[in-house]
Amino acid sequence: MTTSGVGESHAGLDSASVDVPVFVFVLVKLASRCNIDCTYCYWFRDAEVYKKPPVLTVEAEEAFCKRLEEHIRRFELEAFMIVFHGGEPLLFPKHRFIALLDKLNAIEKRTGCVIERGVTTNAMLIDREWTQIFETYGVSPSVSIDGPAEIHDQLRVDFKGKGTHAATLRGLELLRAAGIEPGIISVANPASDPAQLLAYIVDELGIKEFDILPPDARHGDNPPPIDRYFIRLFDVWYDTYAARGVRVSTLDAMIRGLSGRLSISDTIGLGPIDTVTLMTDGALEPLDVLRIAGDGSTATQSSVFANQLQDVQEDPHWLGAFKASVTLPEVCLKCEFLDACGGGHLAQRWSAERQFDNPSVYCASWKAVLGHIWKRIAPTLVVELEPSRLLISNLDRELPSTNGTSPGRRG
Amino acid sequence: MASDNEKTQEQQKQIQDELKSASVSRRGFIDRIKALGFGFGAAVTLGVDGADAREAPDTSVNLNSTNPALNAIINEADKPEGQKKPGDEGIQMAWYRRFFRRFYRRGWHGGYRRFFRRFYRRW
Repeated sequence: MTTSGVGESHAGLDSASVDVPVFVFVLVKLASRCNIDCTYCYWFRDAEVYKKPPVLTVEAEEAFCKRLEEHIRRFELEAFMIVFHGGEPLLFPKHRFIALLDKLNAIEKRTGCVIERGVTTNAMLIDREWTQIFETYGVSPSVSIDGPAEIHDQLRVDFKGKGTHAATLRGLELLRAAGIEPGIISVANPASDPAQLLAYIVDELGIKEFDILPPDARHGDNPPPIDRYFIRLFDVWYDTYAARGVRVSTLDAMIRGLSGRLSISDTIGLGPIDTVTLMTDGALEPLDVLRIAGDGSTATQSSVFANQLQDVQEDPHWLGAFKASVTLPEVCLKCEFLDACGGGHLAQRWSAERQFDNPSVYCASWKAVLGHIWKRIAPTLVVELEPSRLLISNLDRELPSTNGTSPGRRG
Repeated sequence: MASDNEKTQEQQKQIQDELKSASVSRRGFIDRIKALGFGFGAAVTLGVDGADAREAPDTSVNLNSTNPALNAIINEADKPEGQKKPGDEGIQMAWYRRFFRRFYRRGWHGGYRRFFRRFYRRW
């Protein structure tokens, strides 16, 4: 296996420093369908989704578990992460979810590798049985909620166009009644006031750590600018909530990037994206959000029936996405916010004409937002000098690689 | 004639004063750091080709904050629960690349801390 060519012909991260790692994270699509019809959803922009089985097939599940165990043994992994996703993952039958989790427990027992599990859900289908399953099997849920009903119900609607806030809130309350504190993921509505969202999540729901994401969009969509929204979000957070320990992941990522630290988010920041997605038919694909590029855009020739998990890195579609994440356009490389922005989310760089060879569709907005945050935090910053070191060189010494010889570096 | 140490301290103070004045743009700040021969930012850390970062300087500028909330964010993953030890840098980088970014994005919740600790210790 080789990743030669990564970074060879374009400016970007040094090819030697962005070798494809051993996968320790898989996004497992339990369902390809959803029970609601959010207006901004990226998933159904690719009609190929409808050709996939509605839920993960028994055969694909079996093959995945087999491949997972082989992968764990091959690379002697001590830890692995699975996030169950959809569509709406809770459309997957409960008895099958339990059977799958039992299989994962058995793999853990046989290999000694800890398999962490998360699930991202709209929470509408959550009942006491689901909460018991989460509790019993250590599945950490994240709930998608966009704010109070007047904001949430504008865009997160069912197939009849009705708002879904009440049902989501009911699911959220059931989780919390069972002692499960879920994560919250909100999508920004640029037409709304983020102060309202912050007040709702923090003061009404009592949640202090969450994320607010920009709406998924690609070039050609002409999405509304998000600078006013995120500038206001930062100001309200900084002036009112920061001292109370409230944390918004995307703001964290920008603050860390501006202060010279490495990225902590796919949304914004410099760094490679190496997500593997298991589809309901057993296909292995790149980062699911790239489906925003259109029909068949993430389709690969790899599947758990024919390939090892690690083999997907040789697939042109997967490799193309990985390369794109570390190959930035010239305009980004010359930007003062390069290391804080990293070109934004990979999916938001897509255009039909130039594929990923663009800055983010939100480039102008991110520049304004990052400029504003810099202006506000700069007077508080304290300069420290220390011996320089390339972290990647440390990686080489610490990590297992896919060829099992030179950690983190591949030929 | 000032020693190298004194000269470096003087340069550090100059940069600090410029930051405090709140008048320096990020471009101005980066240019200033570069002119003084120091490195700064993820582009330098990761060795971004085309971003004047291939040749890493001997000394890097780190920024912390006098604001406790900002400082906690800036340093959180660098010093998880005060357990940072010499030689752990590679482990932190491993975390970034393999878990933190994805899980942070996908599921921001209390569970991630448990996850973080677990993986951090294992690696």
